[in-house]
Amino acid sequence: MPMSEKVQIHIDDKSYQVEAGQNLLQACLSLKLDLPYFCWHPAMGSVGACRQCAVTLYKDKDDDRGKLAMACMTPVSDGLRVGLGGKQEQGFREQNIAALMTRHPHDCPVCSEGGECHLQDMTVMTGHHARHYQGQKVTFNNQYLGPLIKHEMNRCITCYRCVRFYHDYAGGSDLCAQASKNHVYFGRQQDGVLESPFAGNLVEVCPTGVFTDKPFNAHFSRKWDLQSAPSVCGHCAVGCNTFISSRYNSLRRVNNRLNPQLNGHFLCDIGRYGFAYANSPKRLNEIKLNGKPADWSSKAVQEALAEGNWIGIGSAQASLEDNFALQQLVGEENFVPGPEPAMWPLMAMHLAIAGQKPMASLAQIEEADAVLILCENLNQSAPRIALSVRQALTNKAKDKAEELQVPRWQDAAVRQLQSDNPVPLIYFGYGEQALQRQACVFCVCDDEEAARQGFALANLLHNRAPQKAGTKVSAQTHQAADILRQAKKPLIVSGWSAGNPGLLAAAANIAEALGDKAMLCLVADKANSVGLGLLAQKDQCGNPEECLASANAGLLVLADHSAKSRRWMSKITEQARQVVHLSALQQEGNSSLQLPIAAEGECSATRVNYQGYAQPLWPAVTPPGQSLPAWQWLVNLAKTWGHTLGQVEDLRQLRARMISVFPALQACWADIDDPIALQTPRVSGRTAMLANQSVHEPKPPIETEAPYRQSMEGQVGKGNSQAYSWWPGWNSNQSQHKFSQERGDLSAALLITPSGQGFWWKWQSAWQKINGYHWHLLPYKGVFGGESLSLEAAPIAELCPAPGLFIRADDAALLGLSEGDLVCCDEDSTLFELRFTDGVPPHSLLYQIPANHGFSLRGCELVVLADEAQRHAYQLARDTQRAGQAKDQQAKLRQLLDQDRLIPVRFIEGMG
Amino acid sequence: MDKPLSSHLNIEQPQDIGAYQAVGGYQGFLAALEQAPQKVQQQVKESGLKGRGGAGFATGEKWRFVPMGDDAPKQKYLICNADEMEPGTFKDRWLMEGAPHLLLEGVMIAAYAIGASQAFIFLRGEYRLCARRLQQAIDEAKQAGLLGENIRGSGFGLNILLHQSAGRYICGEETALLNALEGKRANPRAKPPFPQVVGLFGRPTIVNNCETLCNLPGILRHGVQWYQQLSDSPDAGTKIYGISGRVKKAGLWELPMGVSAGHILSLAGGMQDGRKLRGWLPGGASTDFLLPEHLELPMGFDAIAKAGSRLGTGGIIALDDGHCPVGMVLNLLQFFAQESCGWCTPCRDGLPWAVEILSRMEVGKGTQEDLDELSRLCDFMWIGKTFCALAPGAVEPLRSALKYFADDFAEHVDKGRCRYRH
Ligand SMILES: Cc1cc2nc3c(=O)[nH]c(=O)nc-3n(C[C@H](O)[C@H](O)[C@H](O)COP(=O)(O)O)c2cc1C
Ligand code: SF4
Ligand code: SF4
Ligand code: SF4
Ligand code: FES
Repeated sequence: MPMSEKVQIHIDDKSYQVEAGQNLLQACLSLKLDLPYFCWHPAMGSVGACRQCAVTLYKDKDDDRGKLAMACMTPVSDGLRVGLGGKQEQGFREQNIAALMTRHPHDCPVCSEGGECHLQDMTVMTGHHARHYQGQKVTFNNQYLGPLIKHEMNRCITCYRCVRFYHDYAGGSDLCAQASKNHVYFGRQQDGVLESPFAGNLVEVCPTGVFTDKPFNAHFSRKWDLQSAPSVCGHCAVGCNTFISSRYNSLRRVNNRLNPQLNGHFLCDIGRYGFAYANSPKRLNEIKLNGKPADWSSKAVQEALAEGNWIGIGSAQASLEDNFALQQLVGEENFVPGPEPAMWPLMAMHLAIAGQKPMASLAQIEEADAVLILCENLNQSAPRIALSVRQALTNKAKDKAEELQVPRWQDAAVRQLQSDNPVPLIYFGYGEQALQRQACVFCVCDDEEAARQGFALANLLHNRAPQKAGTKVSAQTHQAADILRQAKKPLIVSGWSAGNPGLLAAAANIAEALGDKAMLCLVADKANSVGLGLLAQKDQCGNPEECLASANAGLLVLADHSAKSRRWMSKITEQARQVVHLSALQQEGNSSLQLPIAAEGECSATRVNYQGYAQPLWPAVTPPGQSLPAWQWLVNLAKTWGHTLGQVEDLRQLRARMISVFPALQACWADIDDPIALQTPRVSGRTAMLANQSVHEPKPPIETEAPYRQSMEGQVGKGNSQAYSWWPGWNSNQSQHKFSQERGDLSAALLITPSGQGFWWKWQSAWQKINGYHWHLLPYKGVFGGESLSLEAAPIAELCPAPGLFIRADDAALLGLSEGDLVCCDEDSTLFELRFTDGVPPHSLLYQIPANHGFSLRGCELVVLADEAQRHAYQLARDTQRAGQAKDQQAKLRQLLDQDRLIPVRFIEGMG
Repeated sequence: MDKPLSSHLNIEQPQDIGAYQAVGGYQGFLAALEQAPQKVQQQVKESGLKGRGGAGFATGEKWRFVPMGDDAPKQKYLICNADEMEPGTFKDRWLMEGAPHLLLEGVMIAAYAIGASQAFIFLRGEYRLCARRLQQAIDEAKQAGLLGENIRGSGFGLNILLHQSAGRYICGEETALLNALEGKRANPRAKPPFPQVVGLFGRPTIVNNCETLCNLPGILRHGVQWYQQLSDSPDAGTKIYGISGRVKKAGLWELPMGVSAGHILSLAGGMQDGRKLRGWLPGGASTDFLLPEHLELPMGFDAIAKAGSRLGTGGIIALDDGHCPVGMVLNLLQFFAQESCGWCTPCRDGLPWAVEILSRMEVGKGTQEDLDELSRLCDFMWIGKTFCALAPGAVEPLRSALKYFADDFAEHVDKGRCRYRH
């Protein structure tokens, strides 16, 4: 909402100009005034439940009594007179805390929220410090909520934020407020894993220690002892902004870093918990030659890396720096943009379209008044975008509220109005996840049909849009055309998940047909797919398979951990002279040399999100063992070859070279000249921390020319490069709200400048599926297990469902199959659990498999029921896998905890 | 004296539709159907009818905010609030058990006046006899063509759905009622938006008390003037007053608006022998205590407000000299603490706090600080500080008891015991 209009308000007799349209609490906070609150949330609006934000409103100058009111429910208006620090309102706010505290266990020392607890901060802020209440406290039982979230209900202050987020904002149905009076209980009907893929946000949404981060609890540190860094999620192409935090050089947690254009206040659980792959037992910590530890300087390693004919295979999971260095080293003509040939045309198409039209940010997506999704499995491929689309669905209700003189942040009213003022959501595709279920128009079809209908839709909207001859235009397509025509801000979403570039073309045509009002969002495959594509665009290596055959070449590979890439890799490695992997995780199969590289949070890096925004990441730890940033290995290799890349001495020099290719990157790294402090001022106990081992003050490790200090010296973070959230008196993440107005200007740089020039894509026969099977097999990834890196993170692996085959109930009935049956496709060895859903196109089956599980069929003739022996083996394998996971997890945890006792000296330079 | 509400009321065997029609029943509704809805609204406004649910808000005034005309939303709702869980109040039950068709006629008139094609009766869960009789009346009215599509060729259609509440005091608060009816938690809603504009399922909705609606047939049948002459007080019409406590004969009477409380007490035969009146709550548990000296005040909205209390539901609760005021207040606050919906802090956590203090005080374990804390809590839960009116209502008997029965509280603290306990 444009909020440029200003009004004048008077707070404690001082005058301020504030933006119109907001509520008084928001206004006070953005003026950096302290006003305690609990139930308000900047993204979730006001409900007036907690009564903590009370102020006194005065009618005019002469009114000396005033009236108590809740700031969060009071719209600012010109001339408003407010008492913030007077006796009446302060007294009330203190009493309110006192009342909340009659039920609170005061167990701060054993509470993992301690030190970053909003309740602590607010309690101190109101001045309440002594208890008058003499009665017994209400107590509750806690629930098991799965591997991600710990539950400690006694600490609840009944602010309703959790359910408002989980249920209203994120659409989850298995967490609710139960019972009443001072016994309101926030939990599930019964113990069990929280179903929503956004459950992790409860950790940050809850202002107390009821919902806390379970993996973090297991290896806990107080916030003030954490070393944190501004980071960017590496698990999908959105690039949500995060804080990544460590202690004693081990990563402990990820939480949200406010970026009003992208993630706002929320992450998905893949992003919050996926980082733990860096702590996986599969982690590669040392150089391995043919599976055995080896030395960089050893003859065998040097021989394996000898100068010669090399083909570089980039990775969309690696940073822009890494891919750039690889491309420089092998030469543009020998650089392959990733090990999945199916992605290359998508990459080219994505970049071509992004070169014409800007990609909508999440903030823009949330402004849409009609949404069309063209066969993109958003709930998995970019969960955070799915959450934004969900918010867009409230827009008409918000407009209606305003029409009724009710502010759009009055959440309960907006939700009340939503059913009669719906924002239409149109879905062409398959599956039955949250968004499909909310669609008012749902055309169940496969990717090719969705692309065809997309072309037809563009043509209905604009007669110059090319048609695909022979397409039968569906009724839903006509409906969609009517809806989109009427919309003021229609949003068209598609992406790579179905693997069909025709969908991107169709989406672009629809956006083109709708003209300037349309917003377009294409979801790329991985965190740096677009960055990789930008490099490759320069001059793409023709066909690596041919190159390999002709040239006796070696392969320098930046690892990509998905099963799909393994398939192609195993095909081409057969012909390679030598295969060198730069990887954070151990490579199975035919890698001759493995160089360990820095993982999540271990080195500075840059990634380019789906829109083409380059975003920098800072490290929170140093890489373990022999690991180095991949670019550093490549520079070292260049030195031995006498290649010009070898002249690069540090990150800054590498980046200087990158800027000469992509000048826009200058802006992305602009902040970096001012090193930021990664530790809180509280860590001034640094020396004491190690006193049991040495009384000498150790020097913090310093990377030359690094844009940060692993200490509390340096910038306390400004704008986008905050290392942790903090504001005087505000130790919790709520302090982020103090900055919400300053974060509009992002240091991220847009590497793609849309020309704005229109273009019509023509239908290409390559988009057609030639598929003579009886059953078409369509990929249908799940949130947990659909992304390969996070799958190596223990808590995510635990949530990964078994492979599933989705079929229509009537089809299954014809085959005599029932839900839950164990089946396979023809002779293939993968066993699936059969599940029923309506969202399956005719003659199709949807298959859902973990991203690290190889499965290559595109169709089959038969769905075969597993026999007794197969079922037995399957169960056994699953049990063993689970037991193995649990064992690995415990072993790793024990190791980390042991390490904590000794570690400090080990990682501080010049000691131990 | 005219008793339009109760003259045909029969608690043993209420009139069936035939008997009701035989004495002029449904003529008010049929008269309404002859007029434009706005005209019906106008009459109700002119009649001066004030809501009998407790707040005394003018009914015509309330209806005025419902969007009317062609641009108005097609679906609107009328809801009869028959949740009646206010302690000491049983007037709606009496009306529904004894004269179910009267209520239905009122519902029909109101629905017609605001253009609602669907009405709900939100009935207290425990009122099973009411439920049976109302349902039977609804079925009879359907049979008689007074409900359903296109009633008597007027083009107006109406369905009435009887909803039996799951049973919470807060469900009687009109916006919590809407949530409950939608199947949501019975938390009140913020206003604005008002239910007249954004009500049940987001559509324009009027919630009226059962007794309020029962007044409509008379107004429509006999006219505004007739209605106004029923009472010579500033408030029009008659009212079902009641009294409970240690009186000789607790009960309900239909009386002109504004009779004195003393008159009601005398109808009950006065206090039981050997009991003296110490104080009284004029209209349910959530009103301030008044003293015997206030007995001659007219039981009207303004007069009672001027004396520092509220007319509320008009169901008087009498406190006699054989009962401890501290104990009575504790009992009431236990009820309110139990019934707090748990939405806002002052009520949810303030009421149990007050109960904790009162429980100690009652057994003689209270202190002067506790008394101070109680006054602070009264202030803490006062109007504007809580989300809805439940907590301020709960505070009313407490704060007035602290004022009028200060000596009793002091005695509990000083003597360390309650004189009414042995
Ligand atoms: C806690 C609480 C409980 C209430 N319970 C009832 C009730 O049981 N019946 C009722 O008619 N009104 C009750 N009310 C009042 C209603 O909110 C509403 O004002 C009333 O139904 C309006 O009807 P009227 O305008 O006809 O009086 C209650 C109010 C509060 C705050
Ligand atoms: S669990 Fe946390 S977020 Fe939910 S109501 Fe309690 S304190 Fe608020
Ligand atoms: S939506 Fe994507 S970028 Fe954001 S947290 Fe989830 S996986 Fe990470
Ligand atoms: S005052 Fe607050 S807690 Fe009490 S019933 Fe009303 S909304 Fe619920
Ligand atoms: S923040 Fe305003 S009432 Fe809770």
